[in-house]
Amino acid sequence: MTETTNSTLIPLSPSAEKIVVVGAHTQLGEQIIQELEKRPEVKEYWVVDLHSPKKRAYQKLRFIQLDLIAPGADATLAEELKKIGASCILHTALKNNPSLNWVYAHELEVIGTLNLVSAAKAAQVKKFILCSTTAVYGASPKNPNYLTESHPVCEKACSYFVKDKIEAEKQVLKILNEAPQITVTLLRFCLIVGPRSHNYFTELFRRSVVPTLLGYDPLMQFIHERDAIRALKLVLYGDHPGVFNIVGRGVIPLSYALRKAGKWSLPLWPALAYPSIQSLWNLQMVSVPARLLDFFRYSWVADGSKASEVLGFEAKRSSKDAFLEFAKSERIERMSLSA
Amino acid sequence: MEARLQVKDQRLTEESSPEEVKVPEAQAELEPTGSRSAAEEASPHQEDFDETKRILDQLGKELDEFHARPRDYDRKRLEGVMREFIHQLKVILADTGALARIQEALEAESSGLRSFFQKLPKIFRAGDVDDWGLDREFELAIKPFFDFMYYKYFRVQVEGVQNIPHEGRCLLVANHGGVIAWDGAMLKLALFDEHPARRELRFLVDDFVFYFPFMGSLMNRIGGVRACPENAERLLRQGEVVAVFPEGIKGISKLFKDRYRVERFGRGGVIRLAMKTKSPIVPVAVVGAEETYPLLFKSHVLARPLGLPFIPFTPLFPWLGPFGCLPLPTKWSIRFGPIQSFSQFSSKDLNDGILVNQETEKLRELIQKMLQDKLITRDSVFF
Repeated sequence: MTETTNSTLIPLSPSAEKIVVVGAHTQLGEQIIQELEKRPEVKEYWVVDLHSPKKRAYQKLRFIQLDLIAPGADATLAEELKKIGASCILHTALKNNPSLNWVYAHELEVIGTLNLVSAAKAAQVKKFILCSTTAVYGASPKNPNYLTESHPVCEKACSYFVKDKIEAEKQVLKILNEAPQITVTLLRFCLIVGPRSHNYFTELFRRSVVPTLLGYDPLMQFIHERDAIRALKLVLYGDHPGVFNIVGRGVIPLSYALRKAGKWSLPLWPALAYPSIQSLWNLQMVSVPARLLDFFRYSWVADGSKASEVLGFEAKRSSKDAFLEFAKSERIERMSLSA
Repeated sequence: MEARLQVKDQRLTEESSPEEVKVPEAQAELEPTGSRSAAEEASPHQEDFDETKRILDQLGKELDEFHARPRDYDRKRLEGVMREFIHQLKVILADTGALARIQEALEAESSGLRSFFQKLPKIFRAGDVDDWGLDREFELAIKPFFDFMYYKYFRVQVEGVQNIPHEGRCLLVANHGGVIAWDGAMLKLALFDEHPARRELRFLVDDFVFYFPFMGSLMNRIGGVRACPENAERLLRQGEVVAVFPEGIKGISKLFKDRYRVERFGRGGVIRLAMKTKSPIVPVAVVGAEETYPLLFKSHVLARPLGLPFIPFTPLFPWLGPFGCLPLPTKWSIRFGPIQSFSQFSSKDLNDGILVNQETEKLRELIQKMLQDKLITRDSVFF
């Protein structure tokens, strides 16, 4: 107990005085708000979103209603930020799920980030954090087994879901040249799993039959949602500029994950799988468009050693443990303790 | 924990008589807020219990409100809290491991297709893998087949296996031959069965394999890793024995008339790697592999639409169909040469192209000479 008490509370850096969370309904945004609510030193924090988080009553939350893609949103936001004297912006408003309405998704992720970045520069915040994903490296048989932060992102990504993330990252990394006094942290999370997480992977695994590609059994990497939040807290309360992969230790093959979760896999011949999954996606019967199937075919495992060296972040649960925990909670969700 | 559970019980009883609810104070006594974050890191379940307590608080408040003004109350709010509460209970069940036990009990007598698949032999299902995708259970399951190939089919003879260090990193550089490269698997077995320390070998596999179904994951499960400098460096820094075949595709596409003529060693990546990581190199001469598939001619044009590097034409393939994939039962011998140290080079030498080239050529000639020596002394290809 004594050793844990020393390392528990990360001291608040001055840049974390006035935190503005952008995006309250994403899996990370929702959970970080709850963390901020618990933290005693944080007197109040601001949330920018289209709809206020209604899930429960938040005591310290100050809500700013704003549509990030509305014309002139950057100026309005800059005004608001100046009024608050915001010191830190946590940008979590990137979509967890690919959307059928990809035009809107593109507007939100790319133009929304652009507006947010210009507002942040105008309001002279001290810190800007973006939550991205390791999917930006792209899945390819040419990837090394462990992708480091210096590996170039996959420019030729064919999925809009990934393309928009890359664009958003670029907008944020531009700050480095244009306003070097701002601490820019870019976190790339691998697949986040857990009972509260909702993304395309967890949605896929909440079905009893999971489509796979015949003959391909890639190594998958997971991080538990609580570990993800721990990493986020580290960079939120302290100052750590740079790009970091936030991943769990180790890997598990997709087929092992399927077996452990007690799912049926439906192996599809790749040439057949892409069009059939695409048509199912158009009918919204699967959570993954065909263009994301490469992520269930080739390797895209990222290396988390930079995060452990610089941030001192070690995931408490390995990829395997995180996945097993998710699988267990997923099973209990299916058991009907109806209310 | 007991105290907390008590709180929960207390709350549950209080729900039936919500007029007397005075919870916040009771909780404050039990657990000062300051220690909360400290305790949260101490045990992963603490967070769950805190969360539950919070929801119960809220439930109490909602009930208070309801009893104060039952007519104006919006019941949807209460339903929302109840739903959240049930979700939280499920989370706790999952997190504390109670769920696994419930699941076990429920599945104990389940039969049918699913349990049939669960009982399938290890070959058909993936197990636990290490960081590089090597599945040791799977490896043991298929080892009998490779044992047969090693001892009965190719009758591999090994010389100088003691040149490989008992621990620490080491780079094995071998000639590459045979259209379907059995030499990687045989080297792996030679090290595992004949080296006193039973060292585990990782071998680097060319990119194109990973584009194909089954082959990529199969190679991965038995210790193959995609050939790229990042992977090789990482493996060596972890202290593994890594086998590389610097001839690459040029090696396996050698025509029969060119057999045992060691091709150019890529662009000197092997030497650079050894210099950078200060790993010793053990040159390896594999005799026998290059006659398993006597390649008469090859077609690059036909291979292009299939994504293959080339299509081989041997006396058996493609004329005999799948039987053409059988290797000829040649007699193999694997010779491990003297260990070469590269610790005298500094990081400056890495960029010295001429030096790297010279060292690469030296290594290539060494392997060529080892091959020649063995070829002169052997009696027959098959015995």
